[in-house]
Amino acid sequence: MTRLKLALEEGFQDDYVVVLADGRMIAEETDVTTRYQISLARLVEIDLPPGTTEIEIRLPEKGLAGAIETDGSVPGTLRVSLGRDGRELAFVRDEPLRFA
Amino acid sequence: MTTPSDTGFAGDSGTTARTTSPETRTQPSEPYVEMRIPEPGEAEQAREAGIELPLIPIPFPVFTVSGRYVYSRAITLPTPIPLPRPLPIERIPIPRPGPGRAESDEAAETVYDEDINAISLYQREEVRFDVDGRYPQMTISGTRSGFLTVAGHWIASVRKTASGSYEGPIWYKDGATGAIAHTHVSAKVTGGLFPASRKLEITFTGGGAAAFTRSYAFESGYHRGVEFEYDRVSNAVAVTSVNTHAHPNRPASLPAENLTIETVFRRAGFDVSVSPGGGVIPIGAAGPDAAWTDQEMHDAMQIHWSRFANKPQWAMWVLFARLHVSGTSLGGIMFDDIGPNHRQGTAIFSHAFIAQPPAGDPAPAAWVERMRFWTAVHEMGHSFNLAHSWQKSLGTPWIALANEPEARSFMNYPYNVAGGQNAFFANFDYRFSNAELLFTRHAPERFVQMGNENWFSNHGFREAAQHSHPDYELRLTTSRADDRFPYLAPPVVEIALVNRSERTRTVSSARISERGDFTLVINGERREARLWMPHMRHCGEGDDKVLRPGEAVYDSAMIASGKNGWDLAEPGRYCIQAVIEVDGQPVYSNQLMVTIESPGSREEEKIAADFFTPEVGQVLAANGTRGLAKVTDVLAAAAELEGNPVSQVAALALATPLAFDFKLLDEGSASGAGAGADTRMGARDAGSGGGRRIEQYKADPKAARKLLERAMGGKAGARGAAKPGSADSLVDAVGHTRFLRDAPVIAAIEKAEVPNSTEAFLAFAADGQKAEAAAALPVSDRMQRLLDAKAAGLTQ
Repeated sequence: MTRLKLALEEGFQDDYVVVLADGRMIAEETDVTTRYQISLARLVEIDLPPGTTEIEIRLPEKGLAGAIETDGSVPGTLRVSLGRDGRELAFVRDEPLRFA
Repeated sequence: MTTPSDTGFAGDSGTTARTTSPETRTQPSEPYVEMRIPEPGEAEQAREAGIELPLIPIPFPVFTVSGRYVYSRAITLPTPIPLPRPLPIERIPIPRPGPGRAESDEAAETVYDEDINAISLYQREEVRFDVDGRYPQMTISGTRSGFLTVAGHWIASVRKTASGSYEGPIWYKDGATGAIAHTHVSAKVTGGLFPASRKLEITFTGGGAAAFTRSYAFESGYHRGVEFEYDRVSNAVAVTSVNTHAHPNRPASLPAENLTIETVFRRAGFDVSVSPGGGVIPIGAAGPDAAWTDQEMHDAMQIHWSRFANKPQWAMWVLFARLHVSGTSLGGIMFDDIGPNHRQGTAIFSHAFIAQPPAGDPAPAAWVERMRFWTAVHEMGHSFNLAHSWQKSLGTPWIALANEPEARSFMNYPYNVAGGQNAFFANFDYRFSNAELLFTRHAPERFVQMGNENWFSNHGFREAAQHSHPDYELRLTTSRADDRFPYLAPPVVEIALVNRSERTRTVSSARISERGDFTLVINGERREARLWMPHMRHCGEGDDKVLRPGEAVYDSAMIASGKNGWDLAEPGRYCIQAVIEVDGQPVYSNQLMVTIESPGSREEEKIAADFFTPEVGQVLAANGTRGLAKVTDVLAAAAELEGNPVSQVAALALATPLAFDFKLLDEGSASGAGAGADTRMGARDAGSGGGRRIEQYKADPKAARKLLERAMGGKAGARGAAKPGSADSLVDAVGHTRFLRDAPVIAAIEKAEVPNSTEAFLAFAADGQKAEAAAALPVSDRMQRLLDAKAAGLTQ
């Protein structure tokens, strides 16, 4: 198992978020809402199955989904935000998580 | 309450966490202005506080005039109140001042003129004059107050003129309509060098109001006052000051000083005092794991903050703790977004990532000290309702704001700018940005003051609504369940202005949504608040309409698009609020939360790019065209969508112009002609030359009827077979009063009785009895009753 720190950051509002590893659901979060004073909605630690090649984030109620390929290297951190138009997900991997 | 005797403050070398009671402090106690003549006693106090006053030589004479000025007077109301007063103006008798503030006496003696334009008889006006000193914003703002309430707030941008005065336009007004009638100010400082004799003379002009000049007495070198109370958990480190030269990575021009938090905010224009109630909180208060949750901090605030009152006040509580339960990734948080009074408390976590210097940093201890200091001021900035630099346009900004992702401001993340934290601190002057200073110094008090406006919300009408006209209700609703609209379906807001008084009232019958004094704001969660700008404004005042108690006038507004584009199109939640002026007083609406759903099909997504154009918005607002082929093509595609009310709106917009002969000025090319191009019957106008001609498109009632039947959910050619109620969803989709206005046309299409000439058609449409016409359509009894009521209160 590899521990992933997943930061759901900007643009979330009462969202239901599903995390999948290689198509299999490994976590779900409800009522995810960004607190703009720290630019963070939810910080989640997830154990990824060995050999995970794709991590997918879905917001089923908004019809949104996005994924990253791990290329054999599972990220330690993954930051996820909704774009300004609210219609796409943006990912940043392996950056320090720093909020204030 | 905690004891202030603990020595755990890192800046505790006698320079910080100083406890100064508001009653005993000397003001100004810190050089808000960079270069000026110190006040008597100030040098001694500055030495005590470890502050380096600017060194003389200075180019004499250097003094500043920025700060807070006040005008106040008591009013003896004549009976009856002669408003508006006839000219020439009679001065209101001003009672002989009793013992009190000197500035009140001075201002009262120098009234040049009464503001006969004000509808509120205010007793006090406070002006913030911001033209020199530290970070001048070249701005003057004023707040006019009555006995208990703020009547109005204005902000003007000014420039210095050749005569040494300052003048400029008033660009922001807030509060009761009419309280600030003028549009321009010119200001001049008089009275010499000494604050006690200094006055500010402001002349208000423009806006169709009578000009007047008022004299204000100097009150303070600061714009506003605030009190901080610091508490430290016993296992944490509190940093309330920083040596600006301790770390080598800094601007070359940065002055060397022991900079305190109080100094930072004094330079932002605040008269800062530190509460004597601060001290040390035992670690036990954090719970067994010693890491803090937001709720624990909120509870601690209530217990340990000596000023806690859960009400708006210029005071905040600052907690220095070791770690949040989130761990080291959270350096600090303005935790107080709980309950009705936000932004009262903020926390800094001294052992979070801000205590982890980058590998190889040349001065790691100084780096940590600086990050702890930056975090403290950053979190306190949130308590002033300052958003992050890259999020200025989100939430509900007080004015349209631009993001400042590269700003060297306390409100930016140092590690987020291009070049990272090294680049940030190389140019960081320990200050807030100009936009932030404009906000904290000049925005209406309720937006900035702790415990007042909700965090991240400072542009709403919520507070102003308290001053709404009590005799009326302005009600916004939609016809959709839960106010949810499918993607592409243009939201229609049903507007009702209701007489809530117990007597008959008279209001204008002009169409509500197109009146100049009607304002509607669309406030998306992920974008700045937008003013709805209708495509059309009707001229004319409209006749008076008599409303008995409980009666209303009505309108429907398709607010998705306007002159500034499609503001209500992207999926998400939006807050809609409106205000209208009645009898010179604003009537504020409810806040209507509207949801735009995500696309429900590939077809909807495919159409979207062509649908959300200014041309489609205009055509939908005008309810049809035959002149824009691209638009009619898009509407035809939208009309085919199943299960989406946009299909009904589009079908009706296509049907209406087909009902009668349609004239169109052709600039010489037929390529732009749209539906019905094959039915053109006009001849090129020989007299117009250059190929310009007026085309006339023949009516196509058969096609119009097919479209109408589609809009009503029926099949083409099923005329007469429609069930009662089948037109209800069409009425809801286009809007009740919009439907009523078009009802004669729609009914005529449905009955194939459209007059065959344009003139006859227009006369028919104008004369048609709208409610009766609607009755000819297959609406349900419930809908017919609703339309009957709205027809009685239909605005023109």
